[in-house]
Amino acid sequence: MRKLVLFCCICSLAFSVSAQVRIKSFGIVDPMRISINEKNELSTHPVLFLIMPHASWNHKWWEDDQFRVRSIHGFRIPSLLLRSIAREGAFGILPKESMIPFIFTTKHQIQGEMYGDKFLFKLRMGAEFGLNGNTENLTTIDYPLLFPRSHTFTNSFLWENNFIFSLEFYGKSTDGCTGLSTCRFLFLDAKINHFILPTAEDNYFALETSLALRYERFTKGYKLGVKYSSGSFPFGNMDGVFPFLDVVFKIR
Amino acid sequence: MKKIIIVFIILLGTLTACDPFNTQFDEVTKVKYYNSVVQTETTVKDTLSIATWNIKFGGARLNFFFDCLGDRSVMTKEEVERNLDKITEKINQVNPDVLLLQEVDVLSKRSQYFDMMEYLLNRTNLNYGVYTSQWKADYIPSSGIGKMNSGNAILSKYPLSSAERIALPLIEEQSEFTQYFYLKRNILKVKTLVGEKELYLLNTHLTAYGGSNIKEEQLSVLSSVLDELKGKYVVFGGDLNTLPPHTYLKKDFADNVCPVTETDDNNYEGEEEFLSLFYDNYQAAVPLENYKARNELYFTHSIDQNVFWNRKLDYLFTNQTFIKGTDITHQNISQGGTETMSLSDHTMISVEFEF
Repeated sequence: MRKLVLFCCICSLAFSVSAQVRIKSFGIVDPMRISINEKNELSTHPVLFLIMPHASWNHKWWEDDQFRVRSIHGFRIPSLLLRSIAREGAFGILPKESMIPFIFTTKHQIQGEMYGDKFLFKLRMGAEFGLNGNTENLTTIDYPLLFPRSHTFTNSFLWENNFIFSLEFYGKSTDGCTGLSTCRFLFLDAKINHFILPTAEDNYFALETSLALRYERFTKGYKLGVKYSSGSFPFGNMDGVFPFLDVVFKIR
Repeated sequence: MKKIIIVFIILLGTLTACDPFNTQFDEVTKVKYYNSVVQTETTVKDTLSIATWNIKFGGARLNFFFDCLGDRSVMTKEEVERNLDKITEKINQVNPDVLLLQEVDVLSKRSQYFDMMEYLLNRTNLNYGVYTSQWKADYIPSSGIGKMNSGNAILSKYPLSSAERIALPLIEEQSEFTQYFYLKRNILKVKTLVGEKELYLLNTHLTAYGGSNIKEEQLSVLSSVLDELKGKYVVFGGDLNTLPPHTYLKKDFADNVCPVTETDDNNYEGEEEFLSLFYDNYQAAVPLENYKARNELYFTHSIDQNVFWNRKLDYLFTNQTFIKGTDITHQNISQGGTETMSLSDHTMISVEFEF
């Protein structure tokens, strides 16, 4: 664990000395996006990183005036986070007696994008793999949103497909938003996450559809939305509606 | 623009208001009926064997965190199967016509998503069942409990109908947050038809919460429900979490290792007369004079499996007649025919009911 933190610190330092590296945006829930150069971007959530080291690298392979192709590669090391939530009493998400080994997951996706002046459409497909120690004594987190995202902690892999659509249906820009202007944009964001969760016994799935309004005013963005999740899980068929809210700060 | 945002916020609020973890009860989900896959033939009888048992969700004597004896909160599949098979074996040995069960899990994480109603009905001579939950949540974010659905059940060889879930008062002292995820006690009421005769069956599992008047309030609701059934054949019982009058030991039980609090579940002082109303107006399976003479022969509960049954919390009453001398508190081989200490933290009571 120490080696990994050291490695991440060295990487951060190395990036920071490069003139091109800059923070693009960060949010309360959204990860911090760090632009390395025109083709590469890193993202991680700095607070969550402290208890679950994670990061993803987004590389642009090809682009023309309408389409882009990217690939996204990430990792997560959730052992420390899981140990902190294996407790008795409130916020004991896992049983206290859980034996949590070293868990490393890595996700690789390919993304195609189509964009115009007022819209952006992304189709992303890929898989996540878990390289785990002995997780025999580790129970799953059996809740719709959490189960697919923690599936590789106890199983070897999952498939994940995302359909993302963003439409700007209101925009007002006085000077290209480069100075202290009064730029205002309102976006409608729609996203479908489709998880295929193979286990030893069966194939389960989760489908999450979210709809959000995103309002951006110069350096701040406010996102408010709902996510509808449904799926077939080892603990039965479940669905639910979940609200979400975030504030994203953009560095211009 | 403002209108769109306002509509969106209202929609968001409406969608997510009220019950995000699905812990509340509505009319549709209150009671669930079950049938066994293979029906056992039944004959119309003048006497019925009736039993009650808190089966501790198939947890047998594993050391769960809530008993302060260990830190277990979730069982393995093998443990659940093994424990349920032993419970099934005991039920088949007694072979009751009607069985009141408490702490039956239906698709809960802690018991590996077993439907215990199906499991028991398909492995015993009981043909019909009704179930109502007293603890339900899509997710309980505490001690790794996760998804929960546990409650009261009535199983019978004879058809069941008109099942009702009667809600009991909640603990007012609890914060709204705790109360939201906490147990919602109830009375499960159902009618069974034996030939031409109708018998009303009521099963309940009252709060263990001490230090307030909640038990009295819940017993008062039970009494009112029974008053409405005057003139009908009624058997009621369950885990009342209350000691009978004339109990010698009311606190400082040897197996209570949890820190003592104001709401100590294991201190029954001041509750001595709570059940007098029922002993005065109904016939108890275990007559009070028998209990008074030798408390220990009728104890039905102990927390630690290394401490023999040390208190009576489980009851059967009727407004008709239990056949004298047919009651059995299944404490051990000599009293019930099998060893029961290892099956649950409660033991079964059975009795013959005369129509």
